Amino acid sequence: MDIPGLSPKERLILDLLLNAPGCELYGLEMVKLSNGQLKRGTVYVTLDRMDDKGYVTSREVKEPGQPGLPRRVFTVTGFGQRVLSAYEAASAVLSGARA
Amino acid sequence: MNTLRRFSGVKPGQRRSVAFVLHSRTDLDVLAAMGIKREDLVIRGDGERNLIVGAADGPRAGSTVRMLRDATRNKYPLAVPILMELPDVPILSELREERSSRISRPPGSRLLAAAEFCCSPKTYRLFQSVVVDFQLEYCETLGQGRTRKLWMVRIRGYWSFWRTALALFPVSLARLAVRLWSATGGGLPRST
Repeated sequence: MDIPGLSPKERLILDLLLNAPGCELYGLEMVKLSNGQLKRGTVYVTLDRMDDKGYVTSREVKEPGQPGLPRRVFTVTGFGQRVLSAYEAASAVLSGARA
Repeated sequence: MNTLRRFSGVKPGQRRSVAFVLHSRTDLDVLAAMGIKREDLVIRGDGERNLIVGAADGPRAGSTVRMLRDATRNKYPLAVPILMELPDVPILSELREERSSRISRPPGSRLLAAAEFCCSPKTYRLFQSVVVDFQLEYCETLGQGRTRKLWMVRIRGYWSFWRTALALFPVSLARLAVRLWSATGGGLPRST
């Protein structure tokens, strides 16, 4: 059985999305909220990979009065939530075992 | 400005106004964000893909002209100010000549067009997200009138586009290698 992987950046993104108002953020917002841990140039690549893995899903949003193309906002899927909580539980157990 | 001087010799008795040549309806949204109402504008196509925008005749024509002029000077350097007769636009041929050297597209739009041409729809969607963030941040900074910050926004936007391309490059290279591998039957042709 394949165990889904979760890199530190992916974990950070899931954390940010779950703590965001409305659980929705676009890439630049995540970069601003991450205090330099996420970069503009790579955030969308990471989000795209997370989308492939099924951790996040996205939709296009165009706010009234907003010029140009619609923005893509991301939300965590149920599977993404389960993976995050499994990793949190695992890291809690492992850090307890080390102590 | 050359263009202003060029079209300032409108015949006596004819009304004149400040007008813009814009690339798309998106630019109209930028003007709307600056408080210029669409119903106060005359909007025409120029026969190619651009729009000519001027102040419509009416009670608010004077203030719209002033707002358009301010927008050109302070907030919207991408637009080209001209003087034109209203309600008709008889200067299209001259406009095309001027446009080639003066109008620039919204930042990142050429890169996005190149990405649309070169990449798969999925990869294009990724680049689109990067460029949309870039353009919206650019518009926001333009609206605030912070011209110095615009350069920073441009550099950051282009950097994030190329950084994204670099991050994707190993993936596409690996995919190409796999495709070549399977096309050649799992390796180089064997010598007998």
